[in-house]
Amino acid sequence: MDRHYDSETLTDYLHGALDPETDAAIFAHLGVCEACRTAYNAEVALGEALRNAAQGEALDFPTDLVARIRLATREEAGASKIARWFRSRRVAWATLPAAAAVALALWFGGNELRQQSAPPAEIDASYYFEAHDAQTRSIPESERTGAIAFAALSDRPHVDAAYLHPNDPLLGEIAPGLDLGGPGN
Amino acid sequence: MAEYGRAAYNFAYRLTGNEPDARDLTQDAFVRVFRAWKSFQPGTSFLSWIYRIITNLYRDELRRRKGVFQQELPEDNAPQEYGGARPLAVDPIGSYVESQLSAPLSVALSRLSPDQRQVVILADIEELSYQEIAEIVGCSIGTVRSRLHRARNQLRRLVTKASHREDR
Repeated sequence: MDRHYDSETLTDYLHGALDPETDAAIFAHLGVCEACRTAYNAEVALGEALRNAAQGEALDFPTDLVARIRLATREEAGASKIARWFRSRRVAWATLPAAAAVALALWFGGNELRQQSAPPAEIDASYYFEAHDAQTRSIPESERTGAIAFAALSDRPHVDAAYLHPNDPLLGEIAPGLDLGGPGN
Repeated sequence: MAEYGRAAYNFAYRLTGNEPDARDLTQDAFVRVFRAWKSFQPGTSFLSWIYRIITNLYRDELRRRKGVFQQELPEDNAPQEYGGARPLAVDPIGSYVESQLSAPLSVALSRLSPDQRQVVILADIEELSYQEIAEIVGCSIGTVRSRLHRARNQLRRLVTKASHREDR
């Protein structure tokens, strides 16, 4: 062969980047061509020089850098644990609004029910007056006793005057001297 | 970590050319390794994986600092033969190595573009294959070949210049 290989091809040959056929051809050529062998040796020398230079200035792994990396990865691990915790509860978090809505509905609904079924904490006296008045009217006049004393009971709403017996001592207490028109009077 | 840490740190140092940046780069790379641990493919080279992470981080850092990264080189990398008897000049590298002048070679290496420097480090210092380098750098084998050739030519020029300066 009267041709020579260029430095690019020899560089590829040096790095084992050629196809087997070309590689074999160059190998054979280098055995007989002084010029190409010189060029190839120069490529080899450049690589060796670079490796020697790198070896000469090779640095040890700094111990403080090891510590920095450990700290950074530990922080990263902490952050990922939190992220994992959130990820593992993604389904639970998704149901949280629905659960909150149910809880609120129960709370307000329960209050509503409680308000409907339980007596009011404080009942105005007029409620008793109206109720007792109605009850009084439903009772025959001959049996009424407390109706007359109604006005006197305004400050004692807990006393059910409509059902007081005419001889009940309480009548004398709350309306002394009144003529209740009872059968016994 | 010590096993790969030293290699990663030295690789980062050769890329950046200074220790503080190499430290930051190595630390960031190991945090990425930790974060992306599950994405590592068993059976592949762990060191190549770290080099790839370092290379990407270094590229990001260059972009961040300069705003513009080095332009891709054309892929005119087909092996070429030339006819005739072009004289192959005696390469100055041989005599350069003999005179133990490795420091100027390191300076010459630092003067290469980041793209070229990466490829030279991976090909000639780490002695990785073009395929491995292409995977690490994230480019085609042709681009690796092209960058390596240009880088080696550039190194030769710089070394020749330096040796001529010393001769004077």
